[in-house]
Amino acid sequence: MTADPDKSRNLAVVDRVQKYFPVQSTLLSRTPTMVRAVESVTLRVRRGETLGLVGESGCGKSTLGRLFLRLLDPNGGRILYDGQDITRLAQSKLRPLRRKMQIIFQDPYSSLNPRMTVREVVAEAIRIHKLAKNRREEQAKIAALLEQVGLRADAMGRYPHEFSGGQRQRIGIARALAVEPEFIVCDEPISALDVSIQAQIVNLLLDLQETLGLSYLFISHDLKIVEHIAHRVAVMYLGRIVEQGPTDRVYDNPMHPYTRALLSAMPVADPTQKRLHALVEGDMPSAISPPPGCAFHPRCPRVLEGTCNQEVPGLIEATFGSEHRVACWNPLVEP
Amino acid sequence: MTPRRRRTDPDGSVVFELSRRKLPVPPSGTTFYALAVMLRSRLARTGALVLSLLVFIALFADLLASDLPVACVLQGKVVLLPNVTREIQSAEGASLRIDPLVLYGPLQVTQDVLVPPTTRHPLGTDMLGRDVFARVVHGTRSVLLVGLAAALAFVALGVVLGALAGFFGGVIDTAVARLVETLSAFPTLVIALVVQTIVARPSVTTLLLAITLTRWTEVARIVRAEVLLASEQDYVTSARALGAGPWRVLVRHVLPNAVAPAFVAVTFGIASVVLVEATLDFLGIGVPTAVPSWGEALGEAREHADAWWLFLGPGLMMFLCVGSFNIVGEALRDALDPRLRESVRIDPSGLDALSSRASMIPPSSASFDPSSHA
Repeated sequence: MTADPDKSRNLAVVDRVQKYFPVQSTLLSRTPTMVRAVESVTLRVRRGETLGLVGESGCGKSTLGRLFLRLLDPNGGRILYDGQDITRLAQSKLRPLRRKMQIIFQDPYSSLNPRMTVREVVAEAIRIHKLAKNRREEQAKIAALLEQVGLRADAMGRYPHEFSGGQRQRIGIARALAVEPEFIVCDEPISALDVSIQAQIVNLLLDLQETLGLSYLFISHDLKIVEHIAHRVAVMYLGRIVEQGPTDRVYDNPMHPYTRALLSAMPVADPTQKRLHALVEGDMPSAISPPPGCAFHPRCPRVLEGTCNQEVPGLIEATFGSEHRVACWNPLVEP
Repeated sequence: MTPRRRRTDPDGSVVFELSRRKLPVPPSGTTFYALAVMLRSRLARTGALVLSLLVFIALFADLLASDLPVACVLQGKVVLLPNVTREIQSAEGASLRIDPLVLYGPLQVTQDVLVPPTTRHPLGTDMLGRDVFARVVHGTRSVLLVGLAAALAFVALGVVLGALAGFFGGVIDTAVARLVETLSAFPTLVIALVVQTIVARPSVTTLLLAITLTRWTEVARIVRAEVLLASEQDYVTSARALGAGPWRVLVRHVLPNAVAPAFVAVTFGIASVVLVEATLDFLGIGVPTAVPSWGEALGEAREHADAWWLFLGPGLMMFLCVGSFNIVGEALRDALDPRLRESVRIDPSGLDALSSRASMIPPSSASFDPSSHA
């Protein structure tokens, strides 16, 4: 848990990364149309911390998570892990690093190969990195991992379809933990689960962080859970980070109108509380042709004509040393 | 597919009776499940039964029709299965002999020319005095062998090329796509005809090559699509995140979840190869085999149109063979198709989706869910 002073404080870093996906390349146009999934994003995940990444569906959260692990190759920018630039590293050279960074998925149904038993799923991770000397040791390791994630050892010989969503999510976590990672991208790990199961998985992730000193990039659209689990939070909109900072600062004092709208849409268990409704209207624009200037300006209640629709705002620290950054020409200030 | 009977109550309301019949819930794995689903249809069961019968005939042809006994005692020595081992030429003077169903081999020429069915010759004899039953029974073996070999060959080629194209994409994909487009333009029968005509010594091998060359394309197309689908799954991303190399990902994660249609292709493939082979044999440019195939027998029968029994055996066998393979193939496809599979989800309680309760149970615990594999 304690940070190694010799190593950098930042464990996983993306530096101005971009990721475009071609959507169509017709016979006539040689240059295909691009979806700008991630547009120049800089994010740092520190050792032992949880960075929450929130935003609407389709804003590029998952793509960004995969870029951190270089499961996708960026079109621009750099990716660093523990100070090492891995942007152009060959996949074979990347393998030793794969041990240190893992991913947990949203859909517990597609994240496990239906034709492999739980034992095979976890054993594959151990075998790829040769983490067990013999079958016996491997077996003991698998049993220990299953116990660690709250599954019984007799789950080993069974197939994924015999488990519930929450149990499958635990198997996915056991697989990620098998290689003893330091950094885990949690790609909406609880969105597909029942509310009662969500709490169990979140608690499991918190326990593991405490005992193993893990760092998480926690991708979610559930603001309540992120507030609970994340040390810092970043808000993403249409491929860009619009606000970022320590969780309590961002939640108590959202400066970007989009963050404010998201937070006000959060359900509150208090029927007497008055809520601001309809701060944001319309849908998120297409990432194929994002609006000029600030991507949020067509939906923004605080839009300044002539500025917001012309220039992209930079992500700037609001007050010096607060680490609370916002990308807005007309940010909200404390009431 | 879940058995459900509809009746109308005296008060006029329509009632669905729920079957309490226990449905097969396989212990694990999805292959068993597909088979279980498949065999729930009566037609498929019949097809599978006929198919097993054909395989039985092919395997035990020598016990059904042979000029030598199944077992006998010759000169004080016990001779077992001489009709298979051919260790004696003749069972003349043997005692204690156990005879096959029909006492004639497929190549044995007798004095009885063009005899209609009798007890000695259940399907009569042909113009050379050979027993038609023996020829049909022994023909089953060569027909099924050629069919299976050709189907396996083109399905294997299709799976390999389709998987490589889908998984690696890029240049390989383009190359395979062009090849598929070009070769799909040629009908199998035409290619087979041309090959068998221009090759100096047409053999089973040249026939297999001709069929493989044209037929793999369809399999490749299907497998490529399945591979693309399977590659999108999170477990593939997970394997890559764990550091698995591309071959490991392909062989361990993608292919096992993409080859189900290949089984269907083999089944349909055998049926179509049997037809192609029979057509060639009928036209007299088929494969010269020691044992006559059904097509050849039908071709010879053409010249003796009044001897109806010459058509009966080979024709019936052909009908049963092609029909049963097609029925089983179709049932297999239905059982493996994810969209159809959705509708045949099994609820182990024996009730089905009619009860509103069913929709509230999480699918994973309430029902065996095969749709999670692609």
